[in-house]
Amino acid sequence: MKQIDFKFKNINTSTEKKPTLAVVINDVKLLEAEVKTSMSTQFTERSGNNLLQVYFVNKQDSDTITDDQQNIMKDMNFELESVVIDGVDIKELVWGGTYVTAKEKIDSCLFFGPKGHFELQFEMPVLRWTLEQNHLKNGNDPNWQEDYNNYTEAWKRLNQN
Amino acid sequence: MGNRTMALNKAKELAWAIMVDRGMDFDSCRHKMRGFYSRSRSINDEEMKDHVSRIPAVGDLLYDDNIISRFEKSFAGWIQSNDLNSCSGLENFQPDISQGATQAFDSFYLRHRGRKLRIFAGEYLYHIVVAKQLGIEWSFLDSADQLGEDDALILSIPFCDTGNLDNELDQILRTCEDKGVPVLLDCAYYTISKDIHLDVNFKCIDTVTFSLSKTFPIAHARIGMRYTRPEIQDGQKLHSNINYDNRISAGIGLHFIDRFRSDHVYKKYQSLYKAVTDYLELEPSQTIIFAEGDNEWEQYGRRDILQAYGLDHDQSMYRNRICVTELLENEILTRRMIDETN
Repeated sequence: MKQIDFKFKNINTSTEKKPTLAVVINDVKLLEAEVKTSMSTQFTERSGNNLLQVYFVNKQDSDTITDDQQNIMKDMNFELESVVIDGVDIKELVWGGTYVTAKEKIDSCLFFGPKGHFELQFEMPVLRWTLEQNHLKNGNDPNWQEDYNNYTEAWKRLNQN
Repeated sequence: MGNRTMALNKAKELAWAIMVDRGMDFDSCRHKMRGFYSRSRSINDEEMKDHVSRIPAVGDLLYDDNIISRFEKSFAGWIQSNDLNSCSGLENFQPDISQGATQAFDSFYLRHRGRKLRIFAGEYLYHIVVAKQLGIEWSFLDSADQLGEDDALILSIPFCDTGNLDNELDQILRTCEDKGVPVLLDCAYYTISKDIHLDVNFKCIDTVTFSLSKTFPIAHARIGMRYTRPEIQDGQKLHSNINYDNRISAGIGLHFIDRFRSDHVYKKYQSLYKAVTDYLELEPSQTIIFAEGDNEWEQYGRRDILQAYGLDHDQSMYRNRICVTELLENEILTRRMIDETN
């Protein structure tokens, strides 16, 4: 089992009702709870591709309060701030996720406003994935693989005995 | 794969294993790896670190009127309590405690501010940075012949770039004597070295400095000793004259020199040092924390330190001085990995 940790911010309510989310990884629901600034759960990893989905479970139209001109006055919403998978903060790679609603898919969206869910593909081991993705994106870390191998070899070596 | 490349790979394996064993995460390991072999710090010896917790209370040190003189008196004897090295003529100098060797450098720059500061290429980089910042005229020299009458020389013994005693030291000092060039001998590494036989009777030597920062894991207490000719008076000496020196540093220093001889570190680690230098095919030096690598070791030389000091010098000016402190202070893991590979 691997740990996944979330940080959320700007958690807003429009009534007494609190926002609730559900965390699903690889089609397995792991957690359903009121949104807090820090949340964690554990999941069974698949080697290679894994799919993270975070559902805004209890959002309804009545949670959005508007004025006569349909300007939003109050709303129940929140934002995803960070994701740490197996101890590795995926940092800006979280922006590779998509927010999916009934009407549209919004790339690079960490805002849970409308009813829908956030989803992000990632690979395990996640450290290797983050290094590779960051280099592919920025082209500034040519030694990532060598350093990753050194690090994992050191781990293996120390844990052999 | 060539033997040298294999040695380099072994060095990488060792470094990564030590860092992972300490519980460092990937990013921290990567960051530390850049300077892993390029530093010059003391061995964080567990036995010595244990003594840190037994240092007398700050209050006791602060109000001990005699602690400075006890430390200064004990220090000379401590320097001589050494089966590996010798230093003759120190009795002709007067001691005063220094905030590391560095304060003595600053005092030397100030007293000789009218002279051109000369250092050999590879010398402690602090001199260059400070000279640039303070607008002190300075330049490298390749040999003693290049010294002029208006120069002042700073020379590390053993030499900072190699960890070895310069074979031409006597010739250098004779030249300085002939030309009236004042000399500061920086002996920061003396107490972690072997086969250093130093005669400080040359009249040109106006300052000899020692430091505990490379010997004991107390570098941040900034404890050094400066020896100057009796006629020399300056700000640092004034502190001594008016009993206004740092008693906490003196107390910490006294605590350590009362318990560990000045050849303790070298003797304790010499067997492991030999195993490490053999394993990594490094050229041993006279200083226990340094060894020299060939060109393949360039990435682990002082590039990182040059960058940290903001110096854009060509790294080929410097030897590939490899600091093995981290390997020595992680003895169990280092020996285990050496044994597994052999």
